[in-house]
Amino acid sequence: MSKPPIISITNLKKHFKVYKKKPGLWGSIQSLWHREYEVVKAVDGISFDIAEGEIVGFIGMNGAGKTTTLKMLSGLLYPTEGQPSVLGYNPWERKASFQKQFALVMGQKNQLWWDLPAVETFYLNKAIYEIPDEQFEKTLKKLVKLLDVEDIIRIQVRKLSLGQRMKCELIAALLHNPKVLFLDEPTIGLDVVMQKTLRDFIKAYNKEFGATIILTSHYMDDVKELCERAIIIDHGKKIFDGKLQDIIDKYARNKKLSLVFSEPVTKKDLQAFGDLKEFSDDGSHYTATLLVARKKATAVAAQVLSKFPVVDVTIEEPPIEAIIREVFSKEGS
Amino acid sequence: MKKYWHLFWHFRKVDFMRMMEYRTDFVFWLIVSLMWTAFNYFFFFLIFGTTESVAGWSHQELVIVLSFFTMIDALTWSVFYANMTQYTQSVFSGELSKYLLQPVSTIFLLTTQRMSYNNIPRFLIGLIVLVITAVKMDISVSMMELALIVVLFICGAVFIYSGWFILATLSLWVDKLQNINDIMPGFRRVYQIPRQVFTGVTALTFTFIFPLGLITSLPSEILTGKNPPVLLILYFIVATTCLALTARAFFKYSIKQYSSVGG
Amino acid sequence: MKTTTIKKYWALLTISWENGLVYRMSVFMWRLRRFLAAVMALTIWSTIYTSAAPEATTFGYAQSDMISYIFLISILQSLVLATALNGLAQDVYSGAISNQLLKPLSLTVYLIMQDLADKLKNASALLFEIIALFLIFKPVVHLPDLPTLGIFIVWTLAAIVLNFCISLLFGSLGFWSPETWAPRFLFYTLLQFTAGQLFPLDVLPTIFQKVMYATPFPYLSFVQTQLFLQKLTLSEIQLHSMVLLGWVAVLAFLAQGIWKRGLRDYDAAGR
Repeated sequence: MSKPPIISITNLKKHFKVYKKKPGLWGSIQSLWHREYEVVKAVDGISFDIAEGEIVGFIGMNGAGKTTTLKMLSGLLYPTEGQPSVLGYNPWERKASFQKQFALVMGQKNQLWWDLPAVETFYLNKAIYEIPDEQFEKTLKKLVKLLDVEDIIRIQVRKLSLGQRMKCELIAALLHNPKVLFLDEPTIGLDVVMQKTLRDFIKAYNKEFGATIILTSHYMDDVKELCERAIIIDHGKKIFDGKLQDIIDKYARNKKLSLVFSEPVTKKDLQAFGDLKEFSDDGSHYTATLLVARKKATAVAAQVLSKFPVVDVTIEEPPIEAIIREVFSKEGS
Repeated sequence: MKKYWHLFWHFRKVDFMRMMEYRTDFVFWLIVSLMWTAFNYFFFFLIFGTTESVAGWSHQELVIVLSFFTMIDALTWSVFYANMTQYTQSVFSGELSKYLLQPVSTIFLLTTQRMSYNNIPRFLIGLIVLVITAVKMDISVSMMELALIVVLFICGAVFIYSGWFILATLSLWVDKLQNINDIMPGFRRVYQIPRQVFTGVTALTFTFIFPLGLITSLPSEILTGKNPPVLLILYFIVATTCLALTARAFFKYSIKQYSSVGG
Repeated sequence: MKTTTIKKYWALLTISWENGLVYRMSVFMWRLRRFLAAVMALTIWSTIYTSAAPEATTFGYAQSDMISYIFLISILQSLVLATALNGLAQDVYSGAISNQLLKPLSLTVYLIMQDLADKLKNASALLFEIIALFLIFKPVVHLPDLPTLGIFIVWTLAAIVLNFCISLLFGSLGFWSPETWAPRFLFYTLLQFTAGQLFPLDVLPTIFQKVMYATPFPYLSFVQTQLFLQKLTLSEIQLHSMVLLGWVAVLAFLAQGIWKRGLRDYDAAGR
């Protein structure tokens, strides 16, 4: 990392005071003078630097603090402690010159005007971000083409499908060519094809504009395909920061051997080769799954092939979800 | 029939449980409704206190009109408003389809599902003031007249309800009519005063074309011995029946349309 | 101001205007309701005066005075009290205002544009209503002299600003509580009786009037009508001007402070 960081946070914290409100209006009146507080440490001392042009994936369970962090980086939330710096600005000040250089897209929230065609929002954003005519036309044309939405931008937003709406959301957010882009669950609720389309688009946008992107997602595929670097957050704390491959190497000690046999085999024979996870023998189909140490996987596979009547074999990395789960369970214990 | 009877009381039980769950909200709305009633009587006296009589109605007679109004208005908020908002919301949210699938008359569901208890005291206030005023005025009515008053009062409620139901059913046709449920309450002032107040075009409108002006006037006129024209009474009963049937037919027609489009 | 800034707010105004007109039926229903309220108030008063002796004056209002009063107050309230910000508290609570906070744009100006578009929408509908009311009730409206008219316009604008500040204050409730509707409703209930739509406030017993003048309610349109009908003395005009501007200043200051505080507590819902 020779370039200076474009996003930098040190010991960032956000503690929410939540109180258990009694139901009803009287409850809220009572709560005016008496509240029982409970402090929720949504973000609890996170630090990292991100360089220009990086795509970084935020991984974590629900409520881990991903979105809260993004909101602080956007200037929506006032940090309890620690001052984030984005593009050299303090986001909370919400300076226009800062806001013109970044965008936040939230999968569950929309900025499009619900009752009007998306193109109206585009023109509004053109005025709000003071985008010169020429640049606007050029960018709009390019984005519309990349996402293939020529036909839908003149239809009332509420009549669009979720995927179409998300594409329009992205266009609205990118018209001013932000240098920094925060994507919060951009693919949530979309079908597999649409997820792929958006991923390709995000990649293309990063290449084309050299934009720095932070992405949170539930879908590991998003992170796996887009981000070289991943930051894992749990309970408001950072528990991993590095190359995605490193997590796999560190935590995925095993590979998975899925076997199909032509004749019955015994459990005991198989157990000699590794950790037998699954075994089934219903009289006509004989299958088994073995967990084998990564380094020995190929050798073991060869042995199994020679000793058993194997019809089919596949060797896989465990799914990244499983790895992450393992990371979390390690940290938790 | 028995099923509907059971369902009706089941809904009331659910309403009661809901009320207990949100007791404080109940108290809040109760206070608002009582405040409203008090304001109404107060300003009524204030405004009409300046004149001997208005359009041939003495003070006490006007109080009777206002009391009928208070009772109808209690129904408006407790029954009509609660159900109609539920109805239009179910159209927006698509929940209406769910009602349509149930083996119960949809109109029954939409009419009885929700009622709030917070206007009951208001209804009682109206009734008590009505009785006290009648006693003070030394009014005596025959059983026949009393029955007619009750019938006309119910007619008034059905009239408002049917009109409202037609308006709410419009939300099946037109997008985003959130404030459709404000229209009928907007007409409330028409039957807060005797029909004789209206002259010219408004009189024609509120007596014949859209006889809102008769809702409280007719029962009050019978009670105070003003002997309204029999034809007018008949007209109101027929008009109410027609409106109710129209509401039903319009609903059936709209639902057919709604279902074939696929909500 | 830079031209791009003006363009920015112009674009906001036009999109808000377009958005408001998407559901014309809805707009029509709302206006119909307001129109009915005006018709009813005018009808009641006409009857009261015809029931009494024709030359009688009630509460110091001759019939033509009263009719022009109700006429004026209906128009004024349509302009002053109609606001696009009734849902603001909900938007704050649900985090919908995040969209505006992320953009190089002042939230206050954004809200002003929303409100302005709404007022323009109401005002254009009002034009037709005024004509209709004029034809039905034929009120005799005497225009006041030019200086009074000038003060009247300033007062009306001040009332609009005052109502805007009140809306902001109600909106800020959304930072702390999900129950945003009940207080607003209570406010409207009080307003219904205290802003003078049904009857002029000076028909009330003195004690009520005194209490009322300690609140902002009469300044939301009642004093404006009194000015227009030339019922105020010079010293009263001076006093009301000061109080009106005082309320605007106090509430604007309060709204600003509370919003600043609220934004710090803002949790941009959907954590």
